[in-house]
Amino acid sequence: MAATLHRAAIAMRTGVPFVLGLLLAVLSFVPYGSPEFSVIMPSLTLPLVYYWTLYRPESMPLAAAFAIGLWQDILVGGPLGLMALMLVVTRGVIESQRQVLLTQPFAVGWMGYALISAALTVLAWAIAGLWWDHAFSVWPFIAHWGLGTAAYVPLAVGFRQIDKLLYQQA
Amino acid sequence: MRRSGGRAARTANPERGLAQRLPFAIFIAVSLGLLIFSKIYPTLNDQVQGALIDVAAPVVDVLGEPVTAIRGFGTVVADTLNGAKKVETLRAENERLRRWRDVAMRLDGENAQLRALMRVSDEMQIPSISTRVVSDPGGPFVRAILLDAGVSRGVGKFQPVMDKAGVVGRIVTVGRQSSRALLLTDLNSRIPVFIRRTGDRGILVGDNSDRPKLAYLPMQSSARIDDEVFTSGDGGIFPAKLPVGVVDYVDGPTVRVRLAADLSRLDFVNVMAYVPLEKPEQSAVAQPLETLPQGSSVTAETGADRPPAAFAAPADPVLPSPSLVPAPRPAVPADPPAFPAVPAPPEGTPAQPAAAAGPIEEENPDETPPPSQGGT
Repeated sequence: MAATLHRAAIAMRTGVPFVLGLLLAVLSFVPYGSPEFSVIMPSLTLPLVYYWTLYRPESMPLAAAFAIGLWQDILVGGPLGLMALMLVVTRGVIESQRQVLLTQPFAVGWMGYALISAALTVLAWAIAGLWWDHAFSVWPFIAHWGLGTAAYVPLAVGFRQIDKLLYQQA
Repeated sequence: MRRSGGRAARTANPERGLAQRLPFAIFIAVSLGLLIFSKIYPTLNDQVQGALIDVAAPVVDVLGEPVTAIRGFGTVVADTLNGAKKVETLRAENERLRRWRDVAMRLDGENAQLRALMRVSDEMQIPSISTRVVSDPGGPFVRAILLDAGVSRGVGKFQPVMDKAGVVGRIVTVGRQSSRALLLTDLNSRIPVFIRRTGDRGILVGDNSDRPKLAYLPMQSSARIDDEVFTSGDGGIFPAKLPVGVVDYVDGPTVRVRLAADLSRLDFVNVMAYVPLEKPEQSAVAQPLETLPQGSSVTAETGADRPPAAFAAPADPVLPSPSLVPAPRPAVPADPPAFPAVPAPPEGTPAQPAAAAGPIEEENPDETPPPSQGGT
């Protein structure tokens, strides 16, 4: 019985962040009734992958980050693999830097998010420009990045609560 | 082959480092491979996405319900707060539209007579279905929306999508139960249009801004603010004379159009069962569209293959549908019998915009129409 519960708890620790990622990806596409906002809608999956890779990397395996990104690509209707690439890069980079970031206060972690999301936004802008053969206006991307950086704080607070719930069960 | 000592020192356990990095490299390679694949094989990419949106659309639909409910509640509150003002506005608009109805009825009669005289092919009714919009674009890359209707309801690739005021975009990906429409604002959107006042033809080019550009206009084009823009039907991709918007910005050769469709309130749209002339995917749209109780349909003149007669909705005997556009027409005297004999144009030729006959003398709908001659 205890072993079963333990296995369920382990499965929840991996499954909940993954399902949450799929749901957050969908939330970016819900009709909010504002075309202006929908254009600069921040990525909600990037903070999720960043947070869980930083604090609970075992809960966010590479395959999960890739699958969430691919799901988002399907929702966008653009090139398959773009968001998957962004989230896999986030997972890989943050995993390599987590020992440094973990010892820092939350504000530094937030700055780390701002930096990596800025780099990824530039990368996405460049890849999208090559893919569509079009120089995209930078302003929607800057607004997209700014909103995403601002959204990280409340999202991280929410993730922290879920994190506590999942790891209290042990 | 010499190895640097520094590199050896950095990697204490190379095998372990490789084992950790290999999955990362594999996922990066797969992601890049997918990107390249979707670039090289766009049709295959469309087919894959068509199969996948049937999974995505219902999920977005369900999760969007609370947001839609909150939006609806907000609209109700706002309408309640502005109720008195809104009633006054609607009364005035109703009065204006009543006068326009009389004018439209008179012109409709004249138009039918002139068409008979000139032996112009009849206008056809293109049936359409009404479907729910289940998603927003959701990001800076693509301006597209997911619709709650797919092949099972007769939706096919390239079919025009409209809201009550004008063209919204066209279908680009079709699944069994869902489809994706590319908005006119997307940078991949190109549709042939004309300016009603001048008859100048051009291409409406999306550039991811909310006001698409009007490109390839004639050099001597005299487009000006508030000129109405309609689809021209050139190339047979779109039916002719669907309302697109009004010219909103003119600066030398740069002309931008404010869309008639309200992209901020796309709750329901109409998908027209129009079969494009030039696209090979016609088989995908050969199925009849489901006829809705509302019987929403638009009238358009086109040279395209007609849908089966069984699906052609009868013309509205009193009022045209909201999407019906007054055709560009030469100025005609009030008395039809005095109409001069004009050689009939070739069968199926779209009506020529009025540029050849000078500026159209049709009334501006925003202004008060002249007193009705044949109205009730």
